[in-house]
Amino acid sequence: MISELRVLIVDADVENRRQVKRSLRNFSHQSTDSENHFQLEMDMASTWNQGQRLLLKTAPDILILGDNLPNEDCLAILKSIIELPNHPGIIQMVTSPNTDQAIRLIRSGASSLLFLPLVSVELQQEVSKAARQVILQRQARDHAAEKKQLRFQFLSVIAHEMKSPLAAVEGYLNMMEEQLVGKDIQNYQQMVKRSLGRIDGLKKMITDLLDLTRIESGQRNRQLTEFSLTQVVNEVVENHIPMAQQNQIRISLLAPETLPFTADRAEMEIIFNNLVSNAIKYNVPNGSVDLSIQRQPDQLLISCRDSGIGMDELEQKRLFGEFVRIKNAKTKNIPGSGLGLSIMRKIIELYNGSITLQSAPGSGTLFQIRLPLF
Amino acid sequence: MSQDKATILVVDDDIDILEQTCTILQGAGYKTIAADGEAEAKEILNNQRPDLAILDLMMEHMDSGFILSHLIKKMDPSIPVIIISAVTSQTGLHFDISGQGERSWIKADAFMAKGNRPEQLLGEVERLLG
Repeated sequence: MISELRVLIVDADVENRRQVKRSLRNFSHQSTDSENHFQLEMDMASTWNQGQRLLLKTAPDILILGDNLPNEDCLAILKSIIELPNHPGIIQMVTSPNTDQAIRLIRSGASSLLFLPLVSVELQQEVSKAARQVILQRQARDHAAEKKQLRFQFLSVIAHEMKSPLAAVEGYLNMMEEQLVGKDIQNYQQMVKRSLGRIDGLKKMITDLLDLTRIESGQRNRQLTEFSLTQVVNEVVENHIPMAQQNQIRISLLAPETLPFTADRAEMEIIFNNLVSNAIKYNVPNGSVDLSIQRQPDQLLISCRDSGIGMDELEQKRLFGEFVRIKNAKTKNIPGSGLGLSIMRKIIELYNGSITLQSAPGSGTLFQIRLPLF
Repeated sequence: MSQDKATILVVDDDIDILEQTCTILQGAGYKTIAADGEAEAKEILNNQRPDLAILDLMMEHMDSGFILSHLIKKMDPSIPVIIISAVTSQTGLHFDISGQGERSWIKADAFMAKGNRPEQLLGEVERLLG
């Protein structure tokens, strides 16, 4: 990609200005990753008054400044420039080399010094150096703006996801307060049950959200110990048996009798809880969940195959995003925070592992997790 | 049109809000047609013409409510549409239907936040049907 770098040359000597322009006329800068090519656009001024106007008008990336401007103090000019927000990188041209003055110029804000008479190659090297700095600053600014935008989007979605259950509960309470379906309390049992269900969902969402932010910020105290992964999975499966029976789902587990693995036990529980509960929730009556763990030479291969409703390609691509819940006629009554898979993927990444899935509508889903063995 | 015979299309993918809205409207004598999303609402609109529609904004898509509102107004511009949503000023998305500029592209007659009291909803419905 070709981008533009603006250069402003301010020097009282016409010959200096021309020489700078000649040296840079055919010069361009290539970014270190070679993906971006920067061409220079140059403006010139012979006085600081003129230079100041151009500085504000064109917002240059690099300023090449002479020390021969009439009635101007070089150090004062430098200080005024670096007070500007997003000020340019300054290459200060120096007529007579003097160590004390050189130190003062650098301290006042010059990025580099260029001693006259001008040597084209030196000038080009200094411009390249300044360009690298400018590009880094641009990237940092873009990154900060992007981060701000992402944070805003994330907070917006959280606000929406939390307000929905609150609005539902508020709606039921309003109906009860106004005795909209009569005076008999029995008429409101279903509303109370639904309200409690929505509050439970909200609590789960808050827990998931805290898990997610703790993992992302590295704040969670991880305790890596050796334990039998088979035992953890057995416990997770047992905990899900009532939910599976309610939905008439059969769960099977194929794993070595004992499987020593070093990890944070709570993180492994989160992974398997999400795998198993999703496989049950998005299943069909009389369906199945087949879980297996295989120890391979350099990794653990965890597979979870369900006979559930499956997903199309578009839904699969969106699946690991935050607050993504696949909304269709088959999933509309299935509760969830939309954070489980995102949390699971982030934990797997902490172990340098990977998660993949194969699925098709009506044909179930196979999740496969690979965790490297240390 | 007599108020107690008006048929109102209610579209919301939150099953609780859908049931609450229908119960409130039925209690006030309206007939309701419930749809739990944009897709189901589109199917209903192929065969039926409601007297008023109450649409959730974010369903299958971020702007499902606007899509449906546009469709209804194309079908019959005289059908009043209320867009109701949990997404309001706290998300930076704020709509003021009273401005002509926004009304021209949003194509809805009223915008309400979720969690309204029954009388607020009924008041708005009566105003638009009246």
